[in-house]
Amino acid sequence: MKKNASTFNISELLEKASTAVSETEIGHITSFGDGVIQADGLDNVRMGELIDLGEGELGLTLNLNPDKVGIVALTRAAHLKPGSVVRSTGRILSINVSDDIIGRVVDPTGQAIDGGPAIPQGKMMLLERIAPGVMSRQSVSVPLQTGIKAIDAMIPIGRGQRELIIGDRGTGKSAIAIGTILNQADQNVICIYVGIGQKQSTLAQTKQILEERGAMSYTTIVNASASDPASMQFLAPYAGIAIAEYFLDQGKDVLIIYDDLTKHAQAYREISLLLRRPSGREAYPGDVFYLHSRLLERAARLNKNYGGGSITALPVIETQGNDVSAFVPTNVISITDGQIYLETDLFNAGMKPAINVGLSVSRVGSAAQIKAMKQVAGTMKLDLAQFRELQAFAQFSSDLDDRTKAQLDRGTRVNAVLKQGWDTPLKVEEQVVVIYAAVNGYLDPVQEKFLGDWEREYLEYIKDQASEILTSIRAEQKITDDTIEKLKQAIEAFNRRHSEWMLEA
Amino acid sequence: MSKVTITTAVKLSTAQLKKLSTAIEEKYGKSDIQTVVDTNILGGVIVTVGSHQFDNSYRSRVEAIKQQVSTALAE
Repeated sequence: MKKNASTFNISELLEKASTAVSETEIGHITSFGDGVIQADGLDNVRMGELIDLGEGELGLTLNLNPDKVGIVALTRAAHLKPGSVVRSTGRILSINVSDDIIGRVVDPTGQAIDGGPAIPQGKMMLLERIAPGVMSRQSVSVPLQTGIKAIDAMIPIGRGQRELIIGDRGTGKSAIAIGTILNQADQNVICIYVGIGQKQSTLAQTKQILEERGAMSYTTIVNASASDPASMQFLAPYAGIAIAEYFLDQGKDVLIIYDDLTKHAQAYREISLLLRRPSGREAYPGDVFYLHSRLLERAARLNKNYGGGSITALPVIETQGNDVSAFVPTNVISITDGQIYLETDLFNAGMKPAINVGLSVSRVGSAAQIKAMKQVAGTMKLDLAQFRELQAFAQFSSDLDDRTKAQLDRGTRVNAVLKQGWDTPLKVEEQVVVIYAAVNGYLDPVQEKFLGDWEREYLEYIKDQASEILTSIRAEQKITDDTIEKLKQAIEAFNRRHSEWMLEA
Repeated sequence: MSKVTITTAVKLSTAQLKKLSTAIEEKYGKSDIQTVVDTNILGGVIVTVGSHQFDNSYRSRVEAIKQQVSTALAE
């Protein structure tokens, strides 16, 4: 039956086949090597225009000189020889986006790479677009809940903010990013995960996790893996933000994660050096700052006149040896609205997520927190800072006065509450009740080694026996005096139940 | 003075060439017109002015149809 259907379509196609004379700019290849094509001709080609290299393969114009054009091939283009004809397409680099792109895995040109059908025709979104102007924006005030206590309490992220996740290899940067995606299940946020230069095995794992947890129903993956040409890796973030802008124009909230921009800068450096552009610090081209600033500026919150949507960006940067003062890290730190700083030492000491709360910053801050969270987390950062100072002091002396000991114990417990599994995001009301217990001393009588068990059982208990507390916080967005009373009673009852975890009186 | 190349599969008759040359010179002014016979284009004519190409050859039409059919079959 399929054969009949396709022969029927072929006759239709033959009749509809375009018989117009095609008018294109042509050029001839003078040299081709390492993915960079130099061609003569192409007199009226524009910057960023797609060039047809034959056999369905495309190239991107990146260098315009009086007598030659530098084109970067987007695929291997093995069929090209000196003298081969290349044609301009008249199209500036753009990607086809429709609502059906959610749940799919695509490459930076919009081709589906998850084995499914092609993305249906929708809107052509330009990869390079000018960021929203000042007057179309609104300040960030709605929280983006990551589900991670350390972040939502002390380094809160708002919708429309750019927050950098920075740290050495293996410190849990991608884990924070994926954990945030997992927490957006009921938050009405569309997620886009851009993989740049990653191992294909890592991306397959990521996709599997997202599928198993049902996150693919609101997530799109744009991927340019390590074996893809540098040109694809260079374009991947722009393809991601173009897809995000399609949803932003509809007034929706979008979360986009760039994993990671270090490899992106390296791919761009590779292309620039092959195009013989002058290199600067660390051999990066002069416009590596502009590479990232024009990308990140497109993440914004728009005001009602422009749809009221937002794009929140979580770029990831990998440092070498904790060096945040290297070239690309300092560039991106100055562009984003804050950073989440992950440390290897904390990771190895068992503190996961390995967030250094002292060095991490969110420049939007409490404007992006619900009142309930502000009520409990207000002094937590200060308490933890004082605790860290005391910690160093305590390593030298065991003869401490009671007050210092009490502060140390409190600090250890508050710190322990910040530990969390990467794939167990907590709803904001659950975070509030846990932090409330910690900062108000209800954890002080619990032995250190049972803190993990305490937290787990406590949340079960509240969900079971006192779920009206959670419903109240979720509905009111703050802790009413009534709820505080109920909460106090619940915690005390819970502590009485588990005397086996308490310290000797 | 633009460089124009007219490519055909069979040699153009003098009348055909004159008609084409007049049209070209109307649009581009006095030009240096070269003719090339290339059986690979299967038929039709390709006019190349500098780097601008007007492609009315049978080969490119067959390619276009081949491309359209293969994308339709893939879906």
